[in-house]
Amino acid sequence: MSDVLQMIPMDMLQKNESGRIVEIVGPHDWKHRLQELGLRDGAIVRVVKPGTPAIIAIDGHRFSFRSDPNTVVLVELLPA
Amino acid sequence: MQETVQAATSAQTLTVALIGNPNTGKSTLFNSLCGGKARVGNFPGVTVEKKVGKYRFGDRNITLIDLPGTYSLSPRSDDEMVSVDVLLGRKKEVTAPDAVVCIVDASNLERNLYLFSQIRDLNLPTVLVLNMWDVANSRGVQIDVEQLSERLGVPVVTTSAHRREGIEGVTAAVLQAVENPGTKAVRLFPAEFYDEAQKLDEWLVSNGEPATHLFLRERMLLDIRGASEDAASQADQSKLKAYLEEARGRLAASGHRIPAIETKLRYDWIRQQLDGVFTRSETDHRLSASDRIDKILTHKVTGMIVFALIMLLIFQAIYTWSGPFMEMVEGLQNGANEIVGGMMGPGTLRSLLVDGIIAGVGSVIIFLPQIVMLFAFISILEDCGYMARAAFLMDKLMTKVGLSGKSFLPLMSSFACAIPGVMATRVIENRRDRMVTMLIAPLMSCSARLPVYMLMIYTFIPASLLFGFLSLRGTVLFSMYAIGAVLAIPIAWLFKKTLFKGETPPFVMELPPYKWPSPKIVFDRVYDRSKAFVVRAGTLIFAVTVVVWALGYFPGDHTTQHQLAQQIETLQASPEENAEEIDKLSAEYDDVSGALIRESYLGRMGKAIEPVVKPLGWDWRIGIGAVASFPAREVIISTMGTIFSLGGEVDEEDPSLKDALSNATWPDGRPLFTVPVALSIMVFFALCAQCGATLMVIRRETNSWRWPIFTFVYMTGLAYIAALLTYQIGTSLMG
Repeated sequence: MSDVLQMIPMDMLQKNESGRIVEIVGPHDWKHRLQELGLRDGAIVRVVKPGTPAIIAIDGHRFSFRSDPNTVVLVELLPA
Repeated sequence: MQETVQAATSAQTLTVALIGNPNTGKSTLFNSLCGGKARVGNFPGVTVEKKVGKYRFGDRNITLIDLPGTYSLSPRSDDEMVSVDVLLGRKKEVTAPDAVVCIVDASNLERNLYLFSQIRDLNLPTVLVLNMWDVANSRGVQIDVEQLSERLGVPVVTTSAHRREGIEGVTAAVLQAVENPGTKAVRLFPAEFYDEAQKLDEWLVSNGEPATHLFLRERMLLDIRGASEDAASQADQSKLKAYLEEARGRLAASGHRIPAIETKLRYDWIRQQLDGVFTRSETDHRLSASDRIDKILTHKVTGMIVFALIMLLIFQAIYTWSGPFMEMVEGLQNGANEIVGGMMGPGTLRSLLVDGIIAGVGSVIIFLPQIVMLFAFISILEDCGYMARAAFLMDKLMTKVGLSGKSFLPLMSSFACAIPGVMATRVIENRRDRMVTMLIAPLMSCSARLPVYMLMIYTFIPASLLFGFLSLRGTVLFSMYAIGAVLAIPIAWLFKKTLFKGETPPFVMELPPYKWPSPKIVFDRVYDRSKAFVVRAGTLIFAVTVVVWALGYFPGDHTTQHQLAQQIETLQASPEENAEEIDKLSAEYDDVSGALIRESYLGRMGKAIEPVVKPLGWDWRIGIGAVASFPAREVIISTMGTIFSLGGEVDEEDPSLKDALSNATWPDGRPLFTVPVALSIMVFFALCAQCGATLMVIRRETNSWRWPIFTFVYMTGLAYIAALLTYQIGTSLMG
């Protein structure tokens, strides 16, 4: 691991902040689905529009994102 | 052991499968290759569209199979299993593919190569198409294509399908891949995993399941509760599940946790392949054009306003533009009646043709223009990317009733037709939410209800303006569409609280970039859907029409009626001198016709149910219409057309149903239709479940008779109560 700044749940990112996905914690089938969609470990996520649902950007693609209560996407906050 | 799929086609003809992520331009590429000549069907037993096109390339005939857009080949449902079956040549309806074309978005290789890496495990000749090459270049993405092709061991082609650039190269690359099959699949997984796949083969053979493709066995191990297990149809399913659990346990013990291992290894591999080959010169911080549009369209205030305006615009447009088309169809109907009248004198056969078939089918076809328009609007919204935003906006509302934005798309499609709507609920992963969405989908006002609304509005609602700018007719139409959707909210909430208790499902969905809708794709969709409607009108409605006509024609004695008709027609040769005589005979003719229909089988049935429908303001004719339209709602129009035509209420000069309804009376001479009656009919049809096909689809999707019966009972009850309230309140308001 690099010098991790801080690990926070993805939904705590502010508008236009980016984070690198460290781990997805939750039921394995839903985790698998998220990873296939591109929310993989190491991917960089940027919050385009915070809220429920949020709009996030991964690799130039936009996703609507509202997770289920049992799943947390942990990210390390990247410096702007 | 069967490690490779046998090529089943000769060298002259090649079968190629086309696969890719959603929103990568797959349909555009398919259309540019096949020139739009494709046969669209369905795979039996599942709701996956089978799209097969043919084209020539040099001296080769190429058959192209379009597979549904998917992010991965991990089949979680029978629908996703279809793609795997086609690729492995396990589907009888299509030949085993000789090659696979995997289309990806060039600016998003990191994610799109996930599907590609799974396809490589099939060991088929594969071509990688980097589509949207122009967009990727403008975004500062640089890819060393030759190097990438060398690393991946497959031909790589760049295309910009929407500009028709690079299309030729795709087929050339397919031929190249077929002629030099190149390298074997990369074995990404640890040795323990392949040992387990080998052991699984031995286990399957000893349990009566010979020769399972390695790919299927890998999927069985990797996908917990996946659909690939069903492929081993000979083996005992519960034993197989237990065995797979053990095998996964053994792998976990050696440090390879399933399913996490798959995504990890594949993404690691992708990163290695792209290292130094794929560069992005700019970060993704710039707002794209789509983001700027989204600022407005996904905003909770402006977004909702735009959404409401779009919906209102659609209904106003459907209403105002379809008038001239409807008159055209009416003209055709008149012409047909005149031709028949010129060919034969009054009699049973002429009655069948004019009163039964032309009146019945014509009164349904007249609504084709609106249906085409509604389908066109929905297809345009789907194709330009707005539908995903609508789902995003609606997610907030949907969570209030315990559903997610994913339920919005099936519900929106149900405004065109509940059948594809119910099928589209398959995108909802959670069973409970899928069930609730399925049960409320038929409440959305589908195109079959449109004819009923149009007829009633066109005939009974005055063409005045509301607040000086909104057409009253358009507003009534909009309200009819809204009533089902509005009532669906408490009903869904109730279902989520009682029958299908559960948490609100997550909602993750791609929002594709906005684009101008492609006329070709929109046209194809509209054509297919409208054709289905016409075929229905031509078969089911035709059959019902003939039955209704026969029930309304027999067992009465029509001799007097035909004689009168003959006399009237003779006198009409010189109408001026015989005006009085014609009027007298016409009145007599109407009396005789009315008596005949009242005595007919249909009349007797109608009289029996009249007490039930009277509180809704209906007479026996409307009641019969509602009963006869059980197989399909639009039948009520043709049924009424036939009943009123047989009853002689259709004027010779103007055979349209509209006039017949305006002239219809109760036996005591009061007009049958008033505005509250028209509204009560519309409300009833807005909420009832009069559609055999939808109920059958619900049966197929839920695999039980319980839910279609439940749907029918709750919707019919709701419709009856709402129609009753509409009529009673409406009548008391109008004095």
